[in-house]
Amino acid sequence: MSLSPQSSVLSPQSFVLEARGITKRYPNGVLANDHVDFRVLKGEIHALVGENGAGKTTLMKALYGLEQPDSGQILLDGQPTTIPNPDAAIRHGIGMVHQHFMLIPSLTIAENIILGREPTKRGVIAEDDAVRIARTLSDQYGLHVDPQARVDVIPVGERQRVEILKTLYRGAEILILDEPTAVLTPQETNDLFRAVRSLVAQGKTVIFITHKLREVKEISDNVTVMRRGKVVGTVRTADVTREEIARMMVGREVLDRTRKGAAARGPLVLEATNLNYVTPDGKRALADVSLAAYSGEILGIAGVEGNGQTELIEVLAGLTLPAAGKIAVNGKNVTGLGARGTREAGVSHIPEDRLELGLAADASIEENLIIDRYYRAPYSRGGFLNFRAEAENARRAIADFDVRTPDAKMTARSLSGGNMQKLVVARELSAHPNVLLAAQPTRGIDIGATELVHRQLVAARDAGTAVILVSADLGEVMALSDRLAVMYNGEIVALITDVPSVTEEELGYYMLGVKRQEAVTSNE
Amino acid sequence: MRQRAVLLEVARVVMIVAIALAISFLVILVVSKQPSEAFKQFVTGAAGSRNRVSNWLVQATTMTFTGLAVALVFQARQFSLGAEGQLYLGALMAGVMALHTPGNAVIVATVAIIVAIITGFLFGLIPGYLKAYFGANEIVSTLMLNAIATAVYAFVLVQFLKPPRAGTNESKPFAIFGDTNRLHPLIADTQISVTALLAIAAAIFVHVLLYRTTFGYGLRMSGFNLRFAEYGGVNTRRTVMLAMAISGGIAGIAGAGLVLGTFGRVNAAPSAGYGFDGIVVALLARNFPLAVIPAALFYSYLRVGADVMGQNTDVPFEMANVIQAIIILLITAEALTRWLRRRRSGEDEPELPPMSAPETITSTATVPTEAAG
Repeated sequence: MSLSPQSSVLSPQSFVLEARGITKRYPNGVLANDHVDFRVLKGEIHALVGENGAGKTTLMKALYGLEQPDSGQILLDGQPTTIPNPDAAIRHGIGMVHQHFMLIPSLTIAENIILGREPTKRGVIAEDDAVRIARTLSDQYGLHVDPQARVDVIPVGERQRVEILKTLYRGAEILILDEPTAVLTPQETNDLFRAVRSLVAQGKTVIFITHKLREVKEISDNVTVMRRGKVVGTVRTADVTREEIARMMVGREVLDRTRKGAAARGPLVLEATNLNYVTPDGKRALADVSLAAYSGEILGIAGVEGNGQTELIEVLAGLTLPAAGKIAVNGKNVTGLGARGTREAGVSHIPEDRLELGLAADASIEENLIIDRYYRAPYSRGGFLNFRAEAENARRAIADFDVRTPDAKMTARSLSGGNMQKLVVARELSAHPNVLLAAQPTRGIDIGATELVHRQLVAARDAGTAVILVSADLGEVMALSDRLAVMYNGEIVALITDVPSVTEEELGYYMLGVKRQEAVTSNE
Repeated sequence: MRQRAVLLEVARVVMIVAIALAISFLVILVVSKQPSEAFKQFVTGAAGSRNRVSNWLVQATTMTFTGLAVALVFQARQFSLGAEGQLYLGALMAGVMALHTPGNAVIVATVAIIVAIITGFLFGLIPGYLKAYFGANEIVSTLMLNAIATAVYAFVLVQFLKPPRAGTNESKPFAIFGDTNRLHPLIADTQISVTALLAIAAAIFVHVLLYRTTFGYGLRMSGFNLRFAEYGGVNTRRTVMLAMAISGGIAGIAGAGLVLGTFGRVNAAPSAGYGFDGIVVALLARNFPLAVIPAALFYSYLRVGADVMGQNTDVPFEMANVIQAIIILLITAEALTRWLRRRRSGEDEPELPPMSAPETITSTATVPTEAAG
């Protein structure tokens, strides 16, 4: 079937929210929204999808009063309205749950919910009322929380429910959920979907921002697709397939799965034995973690974020000294050698946070590409930099990894998110590593760049690199891994050797700590 | 593209200076009964006579050294304020050498300057080491070391260098340098000495060090993003420590230049806050070593102009401090807004170092196992 780009299948009568011709150009010249029309029916779940930089966030910021559009109109229940700030949005019944939670960890759930609009008795906050309010809301919408629990001890899924309750307490009729499932396990996602359906059943309207197409199909009534600041179309979800939505997002055919051949497992390359690490604030982030990575194989590490994956990678990369345990690369002990010693043993590292670890945003692209090799020939000649080698290195990396930039002397900051990640990947893979640590290598980058990174990971594997892939995206680790370990609470609780046979549900149980394999050994 | 960026930087600095001058003119207009005369003295004073030009260029020389010292540590994003103390100790040791080293003037001067460099280097190494290996805040440590340095300077001067029964707190003149007691001037009847050439050489040295050597690369990367440098394998501790030490060595030359070239003896207070003027100069130069020279020439011109104005009109010399304050305020405010803008767009740059973060080595035996079975 074909989709006409502007097909509008919604009947005009009852738009609870309508944006007409929203245009927003940022001071740096980026046209983030270009005459965007966006209409939401009362009581529906409306998915908004698009690649990073497609303009979803800008549109939502305009609806929530965080940005003022240059032109265009917002109508609520058919009435033209201006939304100068989030306060006004809340007054108009628009609530937003951000990707990063905005809760105060040291307060209870009830206190967080009422914050900013506290019920008082004679000028004193009425704690009882707060708890009662929280409980009532929680029961009414099926968003289960313990009102008296402190936010810092509750899991991520519950924090998210608190955020939703907070907006409901403030009288939200339209809820904007910004990539709400990014931090959830499959089970928590199911809980969230149940809650969202219950909200809609009670007359609320939900705008659901996501880039996971499976979720679009599962939860939404209608879907609006954006690409490069424009709305490609709004369609009834039931009428389209995932592939068709993907094509609308990217503007071309997309391979849903990365093609990869069978792994040709070679010799043992990296062996970590009984790694232990305790964070400075006393959390036991790694508890006797042992793993083995083989040449020519991708070892995936799944898990809900914050279960020790970050620490594991930093320990393996030599950035953090483990409290106990040993790391060997090709039989040589590299524990305690630091970042440079570990790199010299052939370990490359794509860090999970590009801007914090992977790049110096204000240094040039060329400079960013030699941080691991500047002190060696040919980049160093007797302690002096060899600019020609530096430029040649950058030229090669840019060509091989399709980094889009007019000039390698420009700062890394001038690149888009996807190109920044390609820059990091280019540097780390051009070192021809024995071991590649890849942490969240496609987080926040668009489909095109994701495809390229996936292809490069598989190519590195096929060239004999032992790849260790950590990702919060279950689909990604399942598609790419030849073996898959699951981390929970600083431990490896499961090791799956037959990845195609495992279900997401089963992985979810491991990720939540409900289930664990007996005697997990990762050395087979 | 790059040229545009440079032009933009220059335009920013020029604008800030223009605003600062405009505000100071307004202040002059308010406080002075003879504002036009005051303006004139302020703007043209420094070029008014051979003496004043000499004074101007000597100050510019000193500020070039301290400006370079500050720019170097700023590029490593270390807010070291130790140039003043390093200058004092450099001056002291150069003075001691000039008083007690045998040999001819050239050898004595060379030895004195080298000893001043070593002194500044070692004195800069202290806060560098404390910062790199113990996470001691360099702002606090350098300010405290400044107090120590000036006290040591005064103690040594009064106890050992001052001739007994002398009325003023100063050493004997440096007889080794002949009648003037000073380094031979480059231009007759001025105090402009070979240190002016050394200042230019120092600027070239710092430029090459920062932009052409692997050490400078590691230093700049540590300044851009310390965690990135660590991740890439740069020994950031050693780099930061050496940056602060080299900076101290450069500040030490400033002290040597003052006692050897200007005062001809170890006097009570060789520096009029040149270490702190170095901060303004480095800010104006945007930490580019080659831009430090024009920035120092400009800023010292204002300083001397304000001096002349203070002597000849009813506007006090402190006007220079007003301008200095406004420049610092505007430049830091501008840097702050840029930083905030970046922060808001979600590209938060990590605040200084997790370098001080301890490598927590905790015995696993002491940690309760809480993992579910």
